Amino acid sequence: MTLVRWIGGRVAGAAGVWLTISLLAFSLSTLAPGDPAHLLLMRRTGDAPSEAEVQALRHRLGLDQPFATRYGQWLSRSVRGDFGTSYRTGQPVLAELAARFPATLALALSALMIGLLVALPLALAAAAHPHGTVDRGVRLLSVLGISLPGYWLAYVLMFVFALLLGALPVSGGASLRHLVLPALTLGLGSAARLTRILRASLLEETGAEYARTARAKGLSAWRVLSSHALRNAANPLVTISALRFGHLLGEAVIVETVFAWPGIGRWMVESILDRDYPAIQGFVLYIATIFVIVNVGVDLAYRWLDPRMRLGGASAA
Amino acid sequence: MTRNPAGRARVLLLALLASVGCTRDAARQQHTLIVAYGADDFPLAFNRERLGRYPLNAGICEPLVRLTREFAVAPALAARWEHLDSNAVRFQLRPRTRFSDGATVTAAAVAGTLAQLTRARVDYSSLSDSSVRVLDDSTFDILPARINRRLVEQLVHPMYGIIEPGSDPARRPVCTGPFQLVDYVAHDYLTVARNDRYRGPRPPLDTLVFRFIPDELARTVALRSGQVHAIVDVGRANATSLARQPGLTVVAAPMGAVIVLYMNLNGTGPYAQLRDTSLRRAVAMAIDRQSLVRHVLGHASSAVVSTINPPAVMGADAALVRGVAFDTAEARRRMQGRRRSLSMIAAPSSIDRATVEYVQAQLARIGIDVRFESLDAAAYESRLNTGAFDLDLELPNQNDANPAFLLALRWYSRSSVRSARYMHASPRFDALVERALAANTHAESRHAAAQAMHQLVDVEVAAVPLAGVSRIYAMSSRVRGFLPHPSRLNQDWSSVWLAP
Repeated sequence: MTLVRWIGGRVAGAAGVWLTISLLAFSLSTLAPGDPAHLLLMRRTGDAPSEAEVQALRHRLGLDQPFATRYGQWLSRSVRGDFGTSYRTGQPVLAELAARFPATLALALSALMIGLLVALPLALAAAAHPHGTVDRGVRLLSVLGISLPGYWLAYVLMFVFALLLGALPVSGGASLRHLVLPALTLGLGSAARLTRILRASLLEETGAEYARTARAKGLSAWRVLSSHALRNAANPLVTISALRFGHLLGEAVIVETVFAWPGIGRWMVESILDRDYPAIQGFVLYIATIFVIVNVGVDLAYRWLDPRMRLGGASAA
Repeated sequence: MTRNPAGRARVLLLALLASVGCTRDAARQQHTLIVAYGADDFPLAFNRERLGRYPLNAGICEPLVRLTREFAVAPALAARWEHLDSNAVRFQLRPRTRFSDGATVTAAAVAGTLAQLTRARVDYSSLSDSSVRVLDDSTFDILPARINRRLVEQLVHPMYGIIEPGSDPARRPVCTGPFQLVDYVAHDYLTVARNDRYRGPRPPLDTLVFRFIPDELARTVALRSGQVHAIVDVGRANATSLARQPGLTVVAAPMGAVIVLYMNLNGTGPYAQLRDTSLRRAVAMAIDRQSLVRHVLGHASSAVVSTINPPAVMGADAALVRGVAFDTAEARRRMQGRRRSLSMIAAPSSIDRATVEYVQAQLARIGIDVRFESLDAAAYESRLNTGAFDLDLELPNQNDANPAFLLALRWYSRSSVRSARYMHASPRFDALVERALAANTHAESRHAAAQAMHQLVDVEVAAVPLAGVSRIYAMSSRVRGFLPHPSRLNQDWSSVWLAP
């Protein structure tokens, strides 16, 4: 398969996924109970609005149009980068996303970095002596890390670093110091998952024939592990890291709320609670677009990292 | 320590400079109060042009009249006022009052502010663009578009704070309050500084910072770690543990809200059971409100009440409303041995789970099985507006001095709110509400409102007031001079100072 055809196939598949997500995002958000017009009017004065006011606003927002008409108009505008105007804030959704996304991206990337920095040495240490004390300890830690809810870890870190040590601010987004606690919260959770995957992958590689040959040639077990097995074990790690990045964007919702980090997480939660359809739909499409691009990027990276992919699946087998 | 005299002098000099720096820092810190507030709602479309006024009142702007801690109306920017006829009120501004930039407050500023609020469609006093008739620089009449005898009682709301013509209400409102806006970063903080041109006593604080921290536990950690001096909206469970912390004080405001059990009086289909007055009375009789206050809500922050708004709003007339007495035996007798099943919804974020479970347990004792559905704000509003409920738990707040406000909004048959069609009471109740709204004086209005409330609570049992609730603050014991207001929107920080 030529590279151009391969990329074309991937892009066509991604476009199909993107369109399906757009339809789901649009229909699911409008199926949820609750009238955004009513909620918006409630917010004005804190009092319940009249029926006439609600109907007038529904008409102004286009909520009285048929579903297909609304979806068609929204999709046509979306592909041109216009996600509409947020009911809640009165600002263009794309501008709101663009203003907040860098903070969420910084959080997700920092968390991923922490996850990898913690996972790599732990997985190597565990794989160096499988089923030994260190391995058992690492496995226990990773099970704990996976099992503990993110918000619980957030509060523990907050108590330790803000209250007991007085070293870090509790909340806000003014400086890099404010990023440490939310990034640690997300990063430690990621580290647990990445450690398990990398350990398993390393153990599989150390049992492979090329590793046995290397050891037979006199290379130390550590050298085989760190130089040969790690390189081959990195392939699944790339995929998992990319998937983790997507998950981190989702997990950031809770962490951003707890630490008042100015990303898209809290904004999204409030948009859902207020049935701010343009914001919800815009967010889902925005994240889906990033997900799709990252996945195509991972496929390309995989092809570059693993020569067997370039030769085609059949010949590699 | 260095033996070199020059080196020693340098060390001493550095130490001296450092100590001067520290002293200056300490002095500056001493006059800056940091308050952890909840989420920042100013970026919302309808609030954008009310920066510093609503929903967080930062003390930047003053309305014409203010709400006292006893829910009475007192002069603020207006020195006096009089009702001219059934719908017009003439106001006289205080002489020589100045905005924080030195400009004089005039009747034109009032006209401009009220017109801006009506254009933004956030006014709730039936005002229009042309409601203010300016007579001279300090005298003007306000004529609502529809008859509204309760106008003055409504104008205490902080969103009616007067801003200088030409100043930007969304970015830098210039007003007359004890503080003036310095800086605002959405979702992060709002900083105000003392307004040296304030007409009243100058605030002891140089600067007041409101930090937006939506999560209650994060606010608590911020207080305990010394990152902020005070926090608002402390949960009841949290208040008890904070009160035990050395160096912290927990302050409960006077009662500002009442937990009310609303009933669907006019429901249809599966939601028609509470059309039966005897069943409604059985529900009211089955709930031991003393026990709710003592065991669930806590002594420090709650009280048993009979009125559906804080009794202070009703004054002596509150005694007209007696409330349905707790009597399980009589409630059971009214049930005649039959079992019932009722659905209940509750206002999200204002009613806690413990209160819901308490009501369920109490009604189960007389044979009523309460199915509770936990809903988010939008789903809750949807259920309320379509009448898909039997019981509804809410915590309505009172932020102005109008005694008939809640009655007219929720149970009056001619109310414009959608849910009122399921809750409206009898023609007798309507007549009393109309009397309260049309009364010439506050005392007459209050008396008629109390009679309407008696009709609602005691006679028709259309609503059950369960308990009065106070807002709770926690603060460092260095914070002095804090006078909690029962209405959070009317909380004043200008008397607060920090002890060294």
